[in-house]
Amino acid sequence: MDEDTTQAPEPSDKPSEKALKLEGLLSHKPLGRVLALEEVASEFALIRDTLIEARKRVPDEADFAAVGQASGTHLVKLNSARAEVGQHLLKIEPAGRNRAPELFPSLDAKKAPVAKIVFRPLEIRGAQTRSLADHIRNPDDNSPVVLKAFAASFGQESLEALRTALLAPMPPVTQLPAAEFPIIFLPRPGGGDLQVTPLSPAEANIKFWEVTERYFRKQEKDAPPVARGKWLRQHVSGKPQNISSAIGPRRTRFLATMPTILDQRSAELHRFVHGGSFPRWRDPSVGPAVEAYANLLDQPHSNADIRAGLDRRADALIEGAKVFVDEILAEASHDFPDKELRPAPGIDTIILRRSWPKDGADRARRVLTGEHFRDRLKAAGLS
Amino acid sequence: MILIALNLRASRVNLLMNDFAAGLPSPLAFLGLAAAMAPELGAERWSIGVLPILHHVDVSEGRTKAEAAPKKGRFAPVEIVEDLTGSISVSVLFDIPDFDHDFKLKEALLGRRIGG
Repeated sequence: MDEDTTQAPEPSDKPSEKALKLEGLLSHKPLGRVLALEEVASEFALIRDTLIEARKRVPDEADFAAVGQASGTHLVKLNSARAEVGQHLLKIEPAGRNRAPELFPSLDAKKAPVAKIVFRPLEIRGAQTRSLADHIRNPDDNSPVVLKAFAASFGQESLEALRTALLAPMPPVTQLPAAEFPIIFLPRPGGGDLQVTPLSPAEANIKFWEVTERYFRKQEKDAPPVARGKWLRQHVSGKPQNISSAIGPRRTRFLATMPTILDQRSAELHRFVHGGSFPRWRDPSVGPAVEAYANLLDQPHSNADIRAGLDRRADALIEGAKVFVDEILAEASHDFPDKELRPAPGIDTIILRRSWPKDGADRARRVLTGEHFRDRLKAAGLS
Repeated sequence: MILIALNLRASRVNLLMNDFAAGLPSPLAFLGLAAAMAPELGAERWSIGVLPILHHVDVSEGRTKAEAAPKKGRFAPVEIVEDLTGSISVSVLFDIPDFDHDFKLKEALLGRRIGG
């Protein structure tokens, strides 16, 4: 399990200034370059010019068509790097929705800059942040401007090729590579089994970044503490760019854990508050003290000293039990302030609820319900 | 009849629950366990109701070793498959229609795995 939250190490060779500039323009994540609607055209032109400056080929019609054809909702390569090209993605359009689902590119790492032009989230002031692919598949009021801006920089033919490819249905996947694909059986409605190979939507993997990103932000000094949460982060690929330029090497999931086990006292308190029995008084000296009290009570002689001793012993037991009950009730009302507490059982029950030696329980019950003990309870104002 | 299998221990249980969460065995894994046992118990395949009660879950720290393949003249690991496994202690309530042989259930449970 890999749970470190540090950032990926910087690449050892320092990227050239031009490449850095390109990185600042092309990404699958929002770059923070907020544009006015009219500035979109100049942004696409800037991307094109930066590509030329960086001595990279400006993508043409064929490149955009390739990106469009290799974009889908489910990337088979996320399960197995061995998936063959042409059989490595699906485009599933769920019925009953008025929006086309989001697509993710899955093609050669060399085509990553082209994919990033198509899938870069364009932050337009006063509008939802959407990529060029989104504007093609789910047009809104701004879409004509964005598409025109793209066509102005990369050519009308490129736009048409991209549009055709993104909107076309995908040929179905007919075969899977032998490894890494579990086969499971599900009940078929109407009896029998259904053999399936589960494949998760690429969205579940890639979009999780948006959900979790704020939990992994660096804690700034004097800033409110960053919430952290429990996560499972695993390296799943050494070369994620071969699967899709939109994913990172790590996959993140929510980490579910078992609730911590309460210690005995807390568990008893919890049960009492929720309708269970009153916690036990686990003081080991109580048993012998009751036995000593019973011995003194059962002996035939009596004088002032013996009577004083009996009173003293009974009072000590009553006082101890009372302190215990008060402690528990105070703790319960502190820990569960919203709960209405039931009254505690009688002092004799509190003392009796423990393990006794053979015949000890009967004897203890006899003396604790006897006349002398009841008198002492009365004297203490408890009955 | 409802039967309870107390304090089962299972190792290498799959703890990847679904696309979004991991850390505990998936409830569906127990339905699958019951379905796999159903023919042995003479029940319809999906007719057994299951209620697992987890007592303890230990998540393994390790990963499944990556499969190796020849790569540039060397035998090197290929892509690492995502996984999370662990050992669990669990009691399971089985609701099996028209069945009351607890010893048969015990036998059917031997050597099964909780895959999920």
